[in-house]
Amino acid sequence: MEQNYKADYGFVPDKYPSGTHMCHIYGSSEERRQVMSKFVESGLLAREKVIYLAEVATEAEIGGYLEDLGLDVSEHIKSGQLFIDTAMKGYCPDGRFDAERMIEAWRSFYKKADEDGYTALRGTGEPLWIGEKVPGVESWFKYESFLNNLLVDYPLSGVICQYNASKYDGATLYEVLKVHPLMIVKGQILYNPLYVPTDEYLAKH
Amino acid sequence: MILLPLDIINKFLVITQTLEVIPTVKAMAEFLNAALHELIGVKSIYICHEGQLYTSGNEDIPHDASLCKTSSYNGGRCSIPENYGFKVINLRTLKRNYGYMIINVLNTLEYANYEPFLRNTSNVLARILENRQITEELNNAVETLHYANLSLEVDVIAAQKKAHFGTFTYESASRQSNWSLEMYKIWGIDPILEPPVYTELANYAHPDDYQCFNDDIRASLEQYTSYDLDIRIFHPDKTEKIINIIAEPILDNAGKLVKIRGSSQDITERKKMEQELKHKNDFNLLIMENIAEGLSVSHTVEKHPYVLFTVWNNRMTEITGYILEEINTIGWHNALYTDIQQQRRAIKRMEESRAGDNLVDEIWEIISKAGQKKLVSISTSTITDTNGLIHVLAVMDDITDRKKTENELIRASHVIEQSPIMVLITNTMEEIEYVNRKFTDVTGYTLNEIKGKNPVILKSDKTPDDVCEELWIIITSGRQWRGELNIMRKDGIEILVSVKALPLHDTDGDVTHYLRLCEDITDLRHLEAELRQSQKMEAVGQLAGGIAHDFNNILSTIKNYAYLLKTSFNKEDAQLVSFIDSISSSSDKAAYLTQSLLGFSRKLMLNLRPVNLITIVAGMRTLFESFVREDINVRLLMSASEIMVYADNVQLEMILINLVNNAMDSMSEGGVLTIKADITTIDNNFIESHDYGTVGDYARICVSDTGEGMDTATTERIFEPFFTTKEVGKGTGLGLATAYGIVKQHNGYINVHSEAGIGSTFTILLPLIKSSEAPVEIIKPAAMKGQGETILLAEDNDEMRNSVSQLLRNNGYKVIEAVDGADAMLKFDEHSTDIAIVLLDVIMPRANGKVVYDHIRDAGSVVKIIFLSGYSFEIVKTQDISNRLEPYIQKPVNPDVLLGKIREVLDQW
Repeated sequence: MEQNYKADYGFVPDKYPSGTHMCHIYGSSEERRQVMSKFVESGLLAREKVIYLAEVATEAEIGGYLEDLGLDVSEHIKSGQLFIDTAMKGYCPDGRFDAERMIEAWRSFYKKADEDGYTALRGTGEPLWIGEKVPGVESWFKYESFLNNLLVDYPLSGVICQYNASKYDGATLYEVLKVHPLMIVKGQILYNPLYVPTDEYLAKH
Repeated sequence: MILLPLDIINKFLVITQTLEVIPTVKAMAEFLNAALHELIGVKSIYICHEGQLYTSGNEDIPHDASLCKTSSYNGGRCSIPENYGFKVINLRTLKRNYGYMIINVLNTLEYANYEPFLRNTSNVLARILENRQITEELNNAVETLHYANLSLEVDVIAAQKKAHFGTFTYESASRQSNWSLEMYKIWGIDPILEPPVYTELANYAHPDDYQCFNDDIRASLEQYTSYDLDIRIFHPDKTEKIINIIAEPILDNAGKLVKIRGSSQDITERKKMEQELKHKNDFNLLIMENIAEGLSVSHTVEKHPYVLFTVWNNRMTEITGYILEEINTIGWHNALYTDIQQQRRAIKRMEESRAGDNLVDEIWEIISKAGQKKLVSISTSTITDTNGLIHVLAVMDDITDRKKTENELIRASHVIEQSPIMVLITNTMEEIEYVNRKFTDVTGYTLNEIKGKNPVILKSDKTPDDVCEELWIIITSGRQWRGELNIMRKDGIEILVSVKALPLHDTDGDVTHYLRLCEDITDLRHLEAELRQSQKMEAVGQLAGGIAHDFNNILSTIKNYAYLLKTSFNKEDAQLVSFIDSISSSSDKAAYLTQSLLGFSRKLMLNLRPVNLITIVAGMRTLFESFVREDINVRLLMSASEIMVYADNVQLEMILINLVNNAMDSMSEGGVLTIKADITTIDNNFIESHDYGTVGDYARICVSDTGEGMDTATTERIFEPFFTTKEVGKGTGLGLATAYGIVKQHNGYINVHSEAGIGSTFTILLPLIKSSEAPVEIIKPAAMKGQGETILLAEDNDEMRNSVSQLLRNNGYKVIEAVDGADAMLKFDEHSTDIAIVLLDVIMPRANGKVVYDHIRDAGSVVKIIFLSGYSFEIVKTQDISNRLEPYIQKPVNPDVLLGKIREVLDQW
């Protein structure tokens, strides 16, 4: 994959360098749809491999989820360019979250995408399950913070972590802001002044 | 003014933007708590929003929501004491207070640095809260209004659209019109345009509807009247529509027009449907009224007439004579059936049909209003309407004429079937399709046996093929063929039929069949042959009769003079005597010949009397034995002692002698001659098998021989006059012809059965009479001398007159001669008192014997009269003499017979 690749996220006019890690705190599903549908479409158009960990209970609901996003991506799924799975299965395949395993999974995705000839790899996930008592959830924000380091060596073209503001308490949302260098608010990518660098964050936690 | 550090400003922006996304106040409080907690000196932040405290801290803040006057907090009290270590920052906008942030600060000094920031944050928070509320309220209102309006508008619009119903108003003061969307649509006007002026609406109307509409518009404005019109209008694109327009004036309290309010509805489709429905109904009605059958629908009602008819089409009226109202007034059963039993049957059948037992082409006899009996065919079915009421639908067909025609056809077919003429019908392929009973009776072929076959199979070999071909050519050319054909019956017997063959045409004139009318004329031809035979014999008889008369007179003269010679000269000259005897016998033979001529032609005058046949036959035994040859055995077989018949015994004897002679001639080498007399009966079987006879009892005489017999050709001609199988000079051929004639005169029958080499049997049948009639004795001539009586002799033949006169004078009578009838009357008048007896020739010129007779009797004379004639009996009968009681003597007159008769008459009377 190209080293100095700049990604088009679709919902903003500018292109961003690979390794961009964003949080998307949204207040409504329309807001989310407008951002995520563009993010996925632009990635597929750019012949990137796209990983989507969707907040649906079962795989059967993925089709309806994508329909809600307005995405007709069956061919991309069939070809493997778009990999979409439930967030629970993606993040906690055996019912618990293991940050190391997740990090390793991203590494594997990145390598595979490179082998398969894709231009880049981008990913997004909806970790709604972090509001529940899933084993390993306490290491979630460490994982999120660590992602920033991972993306240096494995520069996904873009990573968006989606957080529905109505589903989390304020303190969690503040925590989300701490671990994401950039934030998407009302469809805008903003510099996040509340970001705490990974090393500092991990040192404190 | 204290400038905040950039990072705080940046945080402020992030906080601001993020807070806008966070949906709840609690979460805001949590976020703020987490975000501002890192500000130096700030421990925690709580938000009190409209009395509800939101916190994420663990500290227990004494809070009394009732004391929170957020909506009008202007110095209102908060429950948190001022000096408790919390700072309260109002969440307040220009509009209202939404609560306050409670900042738990550790260092009041630092707080002083952050206070502007926190106050700005609280302001932002307040605005967010206010915006949210307003937005929410607005959204709610908009949503509510939207849905309300949407609902209302949708309902109204939907309703109007569905009903093609538009509304309008016309403001009287401003003269402005307001139209609903549907109104525009109904009138075909673009809704972006101003609605048409109310007063000019009529311009859109159809020319035929313009005036009426315009008048109503004017009246609504001037007289404040309402209107409700169905009119035709034209859209701007010339489309014609039918609309209903209703308008009503709205008046104010002073009675002044405020506005016209109205509605319009596109009723084009409805009108079209109404028209179609009406058309359909009219058409259905037309069908119902014009169908060929009578149609009625009825249902039961509780009261008279108990069955109410709701449909009664024209044809029902035509058939029955009653209209619907009459039927329902009188009652159908009373109207159509006058017989009580028929009424009951009809009512019962109607009930059954109502229960589902439908009539199917049932034939009933009804009485029409005019009293005419009619045969009708009725079929019914039931209909149940939406209310569950059962209606009976009846279809009635007047079959009176059809039945009549059917009966006529049946009768015609019976006529054909029972026709005495054979009827044979073929199709155009000459295949037999029908034969009637007569055909079967005559030919023996049944229809099944002969159906499908060609009539040529009936042809016998006697009918040439070209005759059949000619028949076919003629009938296939459309003409009739008449002729006679020989055909073969099934039993192989050939018969002769007269045939009339012709083509049969259908109503289009096309030939569909060929008809043959045939009559068995076999018997007719036989009868014709017999007639011709009898006519031939009649002719011969007439010839013979004519000859016989003259001959009789000549013979009479010869016989008289021979008689006179014999009585006048010396009888010792034997040779002379034999000469005279020869003359006499020859004249006898000649007389016999004339008798024969008269006999076979049935012209002989018979002397019919009741005689016993047995006596006659038995009396001839000696005669037969005397002249039959010795090599012939004579047998007489008589089954009874008495068989009475009306017969001339002399003639019978002559017949028997003739038959015996013939039998004898056929047995040249001897044989057996059998004469049998018995009684038999002719019945229908006899007639059918022998082809002659009349039913009754008969005396039968059979003369049989064992001679050489005759072939068929000979037996068929044996009774013909002058036919003989004998050599020339051996027979005159008159014997059997004479016998035939005499038997016929006796109303009897004579026939022959012969087989060559075996023999012949002649059978004579004479009608039997009752034995109660006494046989008449054969009277022999009495003494012949006269005693001087005077005889008037009327005879036109001179020789005959002279010879008879001489004979009479020689035998003691006086004779007055008359040369004809007139002379006879004259002479009688002159000598009536002297005349003892009159001898009258029947046939005389100037006046025949009858005229003379009448003259004598009219004169009152009872003088005795004897008629003489040499003519046939037929001719004498025409002279009306035969039924007279006077004696009659056939010429040639035997002198002894004449003298004896004269004497007898003179002596008897």
